[in-house]
Amino acid sequence: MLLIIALGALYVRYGQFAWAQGILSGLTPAAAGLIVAVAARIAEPMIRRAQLVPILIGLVIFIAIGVLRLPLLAVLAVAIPISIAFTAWRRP
Amino acid sequence: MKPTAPLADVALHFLSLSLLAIGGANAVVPEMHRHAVEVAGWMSDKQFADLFAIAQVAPGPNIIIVTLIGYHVAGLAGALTATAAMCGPTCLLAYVLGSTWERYRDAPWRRIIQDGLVPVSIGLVAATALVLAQVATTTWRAALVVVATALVCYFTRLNPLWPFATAALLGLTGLV
Repeated sequence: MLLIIALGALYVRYGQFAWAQGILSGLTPAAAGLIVAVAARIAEPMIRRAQLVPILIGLVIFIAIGVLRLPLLAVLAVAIPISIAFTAWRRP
Repeated sequence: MKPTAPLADVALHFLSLSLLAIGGANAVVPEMHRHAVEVAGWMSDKQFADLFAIAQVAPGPNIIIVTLIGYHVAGLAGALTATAAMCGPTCLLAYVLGSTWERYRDAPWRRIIQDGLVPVSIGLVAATALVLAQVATTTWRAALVVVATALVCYFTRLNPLWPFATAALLGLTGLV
């Protein structure tokens, strides 16, 4: 926690320096790349199972949040009940 | 124009986020970005992406991006407020509901809720990946780093710190 606050302070103070900008210009896209890989890894089992509705739900949320940038609360308020209802209906 | 004091805004934003974080911190990054960059105007796209990268590299859970955003907005008080707001309600909820949730470990409704949340959290993390990839892709070389890191991390079991160190070095030498 203290370390993180120290890092935050370093970024606020030195973030605009050329060397810090240099490091971050490599690090920032790498961090984004890691999350792309994480997303692919967790999506893989769902896609393998090849059930249409869960894939559709995942895809709709991906588009609503990632592309359309809709508010999270509204999206979840619709998506979670639908997803749970479908799961319940599939396995009585 | 900011309707509320930054500290109060930080507290409110992360309090509400903490209850929506299905699938962990990585699931709510687009909402953090939407608020921090687009709604509240706390920082630029680039600053947000930088803070996310720092949170990834630093030891500790990914949720520490919240601490960094709080610090950026309102210094030490902001960092503490943001962290408490993000973790407080979840800890309390886990404490209150945890034993109940354990007791019904084999109950069918519990499995239904858990399984129902899986596609939701997958969609959310995928959205996080898209938003961050867009924000981080400022040049074609940065795009290459995004793709290369994604491929390395997806297809190998290599510790992500290796691609991170390589990318940081490429950045420092001006190659990216």
